Amino acid sequence: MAVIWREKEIAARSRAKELAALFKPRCRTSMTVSVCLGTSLLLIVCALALISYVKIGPSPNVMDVRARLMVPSRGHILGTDHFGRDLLARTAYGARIALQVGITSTLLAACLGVVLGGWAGYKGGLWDEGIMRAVDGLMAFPGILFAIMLVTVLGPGVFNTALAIGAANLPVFARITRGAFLTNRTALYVEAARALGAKPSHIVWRHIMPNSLGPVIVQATVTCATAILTEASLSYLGLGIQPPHASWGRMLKEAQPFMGRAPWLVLVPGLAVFITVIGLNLLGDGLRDWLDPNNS
Amino acid sequence: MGLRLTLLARLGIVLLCIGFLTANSSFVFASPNYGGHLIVAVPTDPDTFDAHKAVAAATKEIDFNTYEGLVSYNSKGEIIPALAVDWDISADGTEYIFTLREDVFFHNNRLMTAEDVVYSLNRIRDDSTGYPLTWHKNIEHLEILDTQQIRLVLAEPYAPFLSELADAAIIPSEAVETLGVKPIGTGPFKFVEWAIGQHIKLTKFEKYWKAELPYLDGVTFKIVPNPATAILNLKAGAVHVIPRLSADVAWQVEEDPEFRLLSAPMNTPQLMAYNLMREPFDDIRVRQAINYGIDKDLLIEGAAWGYGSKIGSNMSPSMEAFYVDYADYYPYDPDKARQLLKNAGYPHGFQSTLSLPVDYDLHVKAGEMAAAMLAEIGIELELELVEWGTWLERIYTKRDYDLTIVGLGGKLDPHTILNRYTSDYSRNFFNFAHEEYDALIEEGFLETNPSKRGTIYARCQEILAEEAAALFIMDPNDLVAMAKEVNGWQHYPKYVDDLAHVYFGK
Repeated sequence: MAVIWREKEIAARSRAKELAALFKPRCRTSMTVSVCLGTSLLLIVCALALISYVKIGPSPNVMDVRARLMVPSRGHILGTDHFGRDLLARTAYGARIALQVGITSTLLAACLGVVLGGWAGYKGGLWDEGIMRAVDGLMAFPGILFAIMLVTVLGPGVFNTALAIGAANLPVFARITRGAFLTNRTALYVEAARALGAKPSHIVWRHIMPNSLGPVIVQATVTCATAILTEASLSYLGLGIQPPHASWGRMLKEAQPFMGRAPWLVLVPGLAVFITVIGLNLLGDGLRDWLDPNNS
Repeated sequence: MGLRLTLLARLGIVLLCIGFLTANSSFVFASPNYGGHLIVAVPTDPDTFDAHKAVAAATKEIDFNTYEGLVSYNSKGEIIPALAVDWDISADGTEYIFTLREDVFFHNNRLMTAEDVVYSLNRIRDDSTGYPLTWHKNIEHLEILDTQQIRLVLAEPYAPFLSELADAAIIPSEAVETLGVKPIGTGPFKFVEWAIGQHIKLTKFEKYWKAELPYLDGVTFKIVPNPATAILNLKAGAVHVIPRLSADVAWQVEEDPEFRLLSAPMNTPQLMAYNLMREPFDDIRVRQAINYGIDKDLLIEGAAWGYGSKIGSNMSPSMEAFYVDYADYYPYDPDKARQLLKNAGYPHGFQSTLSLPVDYDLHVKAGEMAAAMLAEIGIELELELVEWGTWLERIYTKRDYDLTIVGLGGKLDPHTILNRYTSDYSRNFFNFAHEEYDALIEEGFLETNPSKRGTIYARCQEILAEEAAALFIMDPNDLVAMAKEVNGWQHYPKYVDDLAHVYFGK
């Protein structure tokens, strides 16, 4: 009886191992698939943005009122808008703006957030209290409202928009970094390093930081996606990118009255936002699986 | 028997013919039907229903149906009697004697008296009321002569006085506390309810002094901020009328036989103002260059889908009695524009900032087009979208701008329209200063002879064109979309909706 039970147990265990073996590679593939898909979607957007730097085809701001709201044709691959401007050129310029704002604001938020959060997490005590309460205060504002407020104060434009969105996203990075620093600060390897006589700066840069950056990188991709959405919203409201320059949000706003007549005017920038955001989210998802130390 | 009937019928026909021949209105064929409840789409809530405190145009379009002044204006902008049946103006133009109508009731069913008129005008004169206009300071003396007559003395003659008086609502003193949320006037419709952000309901006032008006049983102003949504509402039958439709969505009703699109000048000249105190706009050659560099026809087509009349001075073609056509004073000529810029010392053009009020899509669009056209002659404009509040404060009040596009409207008298270019006018945000112009405006202000006024204001318009005081673009059309069964709509040269004459037809 006991023997049979034991055999069953062994069989079950080996089956479990088999199952685990079956699942592990699949888990890996899904991860690579999302990274690949995300990256390729983003490459499309980057290619689009590159078009705007190359001076071929129609320019994004040249108007031809007589050729307004044209259906896609050879001269205008995606058609024209209400001023007769080329939709492809404008979408490409919009991609450039979206990436500029997305990347700049994320870098800003990440750099400042990591420094603040790391300092708070490593130092602890009054520093921690002071910095984190300030960050909590920032967090109390809904991101978009905070960005609107900042843009109103700073004035519109690409850099100011990026600055405003970056500031609105800073608290998340500070929180994440502080959390990671708190756990890593008391980890065995840090104590070991300290016991060996390593200087605090060495411990922070060589030991804690590399082990805390994973979640920050993942958060960066998500933030970049939100930043692009926020930029579109601000421009939709007339606060972000100023006319005549194209931004996806502004293009959507301008196309609204003609939705029934020239649906591609709304579809194209809408799809562009969708592709970028889904690309970034897929990439972030894949990166999280990849970078998560508990996952391997 | 049969013969008599035919005779009667013949008589009837003859009588009908006489009726048709003597009637001078085209409405006689479709005599207005009574009844029905009209739904009108408006973009925003009113600021306050207290007619003496309201500033928003959105409020005035509703107030026109509930409040009245001593006089009113018709759809041509001419002054007509309202609560006063008649008035006498003294030869020197400073003394007015108004004879009041006898059978006027307030919405609370109380008869209007001379005391109410004096009370209302005094309330407007009282600085603590905060009436947004300043003309009342000119009233020196106000008294009741007898039950139906009041006398009004002005400090100095003021030609546009009557047209200003049309906006001075007569209210009952007992209702003043709640006037802001529950308006009580003498108009054809009385207030029922105001659901903030949703609708304002009015109902027919049975005791209105014009017994045949209004035709409708009631009106609802439905608040629909987005023009695209308003059009969907119209198509679904949820609203009957959209006054001031955006030209961008006009295509949705243009060709549809189920709807009608009325179009008439709005009396709101759209212009690009130069800050004349700043370089390089203090140089007339630069201003002329900009005038020559803009193709107004193309701009009207691009920004307003052609729904606008080209202008060349600060007067709308709808002001028929005073309008002089300067629309082609500076015909489109980019070469001439470049030459003028070169003469002014800007052979390679220059850079400047064009501030646009973001809440007014038409001005933003016109700005985008103007910037594209001026880029052709070497002038690089950076566009800056500003909120309306900022625009009023920074640009209109503090005059801190280079270039801006705006529409100046809502005035019925040439004096009040052109007065803003006088050098000492507090809202002369152009910084325009011209001695002859100032003198002419002063002269027109005191002049009561209509033909002499016409000559004076014609010269004023000419000066504005000559000096290129601004880039006068167009008078945009007032577009009204409505279901085809709605009849009797009249365009006014002011921001009002006259619903008293509207009726449902077949």
